[in-house]
Amino acid sequence: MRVVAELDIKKDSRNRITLPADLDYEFFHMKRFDDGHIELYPRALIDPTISRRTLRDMDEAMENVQQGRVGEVLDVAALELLADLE
Amino acid sequence: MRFQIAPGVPDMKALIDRLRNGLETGTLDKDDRRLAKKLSKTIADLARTPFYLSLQSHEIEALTVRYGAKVYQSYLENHTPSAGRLVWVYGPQRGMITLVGLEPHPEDQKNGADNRVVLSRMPTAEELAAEAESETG
Repeated sequence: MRVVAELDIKKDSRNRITLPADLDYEFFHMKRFDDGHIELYPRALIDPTISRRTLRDMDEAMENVQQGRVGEVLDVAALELLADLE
Repeated sequence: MRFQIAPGVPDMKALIDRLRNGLETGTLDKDDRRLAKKLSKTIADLARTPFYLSLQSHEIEALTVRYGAKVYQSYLENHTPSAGRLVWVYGPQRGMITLVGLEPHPEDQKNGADNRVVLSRMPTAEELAAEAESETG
């Protein structure tokens, strides 16, 4: 690892320290040790995935919604009752 | 105010019709019966309060950008890492919600398929359609 930045920081009156914002990561995991030193590890959030089939179905459904085409309004109470009876 | 819930066409309508008919005739297998129950409860909660806490409804920005309309997802169950999610939008009329997708896709679960794409690098609708065409030969 190569040091690309080094600076002295003073905590503010509310016990916070401010780091420069020109960092490549948005999220960090922080560890504070009893000798006073602090470590920050970059954290990359997992990119959520979606099923290719779901996406294909949604593309078609959204095109229809945008043209005002949807299925008949569901009888929610009947559907709930039916599921409860099972 | 209660929202009217409509299934998107054609796939969500086909799925809900199949589950409803299966419940009526008692012909659903165990997995489908469980899905039908969870889906019914989620739809009922959505109609009452779309942002009911247990639904954990939230916008999916990548899909909002894709369709140019706010797209939300709600969870079918709580405290389950692999919980199913229902994808929906407001409209097409005032006071209506349209269900446009279910994730994971029920057919993927049955076939054990793992054909997924990441939201930040989704293929376009045209690319998806071309893929589907080449799959069917």
